[in-house]
Amino acid sequence: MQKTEKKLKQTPLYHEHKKLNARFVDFGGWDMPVIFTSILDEHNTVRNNCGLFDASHMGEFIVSGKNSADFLNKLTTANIPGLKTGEAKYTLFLNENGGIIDDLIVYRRENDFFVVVNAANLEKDFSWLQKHKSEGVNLENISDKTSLIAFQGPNAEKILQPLLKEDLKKLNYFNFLKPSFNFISPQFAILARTGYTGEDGFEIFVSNDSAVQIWQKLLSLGAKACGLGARDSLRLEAAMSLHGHDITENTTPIEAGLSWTIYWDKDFIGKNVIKEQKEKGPARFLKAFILETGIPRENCDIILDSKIIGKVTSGTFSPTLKKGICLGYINQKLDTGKEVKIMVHNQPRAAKVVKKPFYKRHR
Amino acid sequence: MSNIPKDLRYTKTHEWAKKENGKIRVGITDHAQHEITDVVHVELPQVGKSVEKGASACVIESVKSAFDIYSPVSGKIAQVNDTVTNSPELVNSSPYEQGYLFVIEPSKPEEFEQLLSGEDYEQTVKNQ
Repeated sequence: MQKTEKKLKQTPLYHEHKKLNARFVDFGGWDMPVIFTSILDEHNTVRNNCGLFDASHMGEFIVSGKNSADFLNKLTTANIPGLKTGEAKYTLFLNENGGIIDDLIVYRRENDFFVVVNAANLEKDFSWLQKHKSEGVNLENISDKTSLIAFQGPNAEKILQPLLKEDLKKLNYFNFLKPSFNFISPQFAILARTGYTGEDGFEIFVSNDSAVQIWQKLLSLGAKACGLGARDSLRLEAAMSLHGHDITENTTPIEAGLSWTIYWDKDFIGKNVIKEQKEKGPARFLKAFILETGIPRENCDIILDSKIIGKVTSGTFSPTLKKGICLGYINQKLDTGKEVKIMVHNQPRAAKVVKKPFYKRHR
Repeated sequence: MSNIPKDLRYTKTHEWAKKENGKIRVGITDHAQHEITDVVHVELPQVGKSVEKGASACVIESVKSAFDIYSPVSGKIAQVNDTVTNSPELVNSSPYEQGYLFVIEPSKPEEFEQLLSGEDYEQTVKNQ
């Protein structure tokens, strides 16, 4: 095995993961845990109980100033002024061609906006914001001092509640609050009912020096540490896009099936291109597929009537469905149930177009 | 330390081989199954297919990745272990017994003698 000289970044929880004998992987320059015990165990634990993820590599910005709402409204696809304090929204940064620079969540706080972006795009995103910054807008990148612990699964609320003053029953999906923990007082903290697993759960943003204590507390109360491997299979079952794979600067929200994130009654960067695309219809469509046998992987060809009609962008074995599942772009509209072939290990495998997501939790 | 039975022969790519009545039974080592983690799918070769020593003969998949399994010797696939198609986890729990992959009718029987001994394989694993 070749030794790399590259110095990988470590999150404040790195030594906790070492203690648990995690396997690590280079993820966008970060030395991140990919497996603690087993992806299958970790995946199923999140579906049936609750799992704990270190997502401290993600990027966090604070956008403040009197023009911050207008500024973010221009740079994202969401209705930013319509967000109330304590509400969060999944949205996109688009370039002038309507391509997706990144997907993100904007949290409206009383006096500013908290913005969470993908680790791999952090610097690019911040430059993009700086480039378009106008008077009355302040930008702060707090990524290096902020940790993110995602606590996901049907039992997450039950375990978290006794540690908090606030009533979690009143915290709705995509809402957040400033938590008052009974065992720690972080300098900075946001508790949001958001996640990347398709399960109920929370994302806890805290100042770095509080991360280890919160991580250890939740582990001691029965949460299981989960790695990026399970995070990927969970998000794919929930058909949530992964930037750099299912969505990129060369794909638009119309093609990616993310039209629902667009608030049309405003002006924003990229609007003209995607508006036209929406009216004319896009040339490709991000669709979900289930295979009879075999596991599709990124770049596998999608075939209809012996012709290549597209490529897989994300594929995995679904621990819940026990089948191969994938997302991929195809160059034509196909109805749910339509049979196609996907090339896996140079052999055509029977696959079916299915409705997204692959997995939906019972509410 | 992983389990390396001394009565088997090995490849540097972590397959094991066992001679039985002139045929060669093949699987992956305990070390390999541990590195792959949960085996969730096995793509077995077809019976009768010709295989080359050192060429991919079969694919084992975890949730995240696919791993090529290389044939330790040249020959024809004489038999495959269909049990692992429905119970791929046997490759993890019993890599040397119930989780074997296939049996080869060797075309160059001398190739078997060139495979690593248990001691040599143990050294290979240590050096990686």
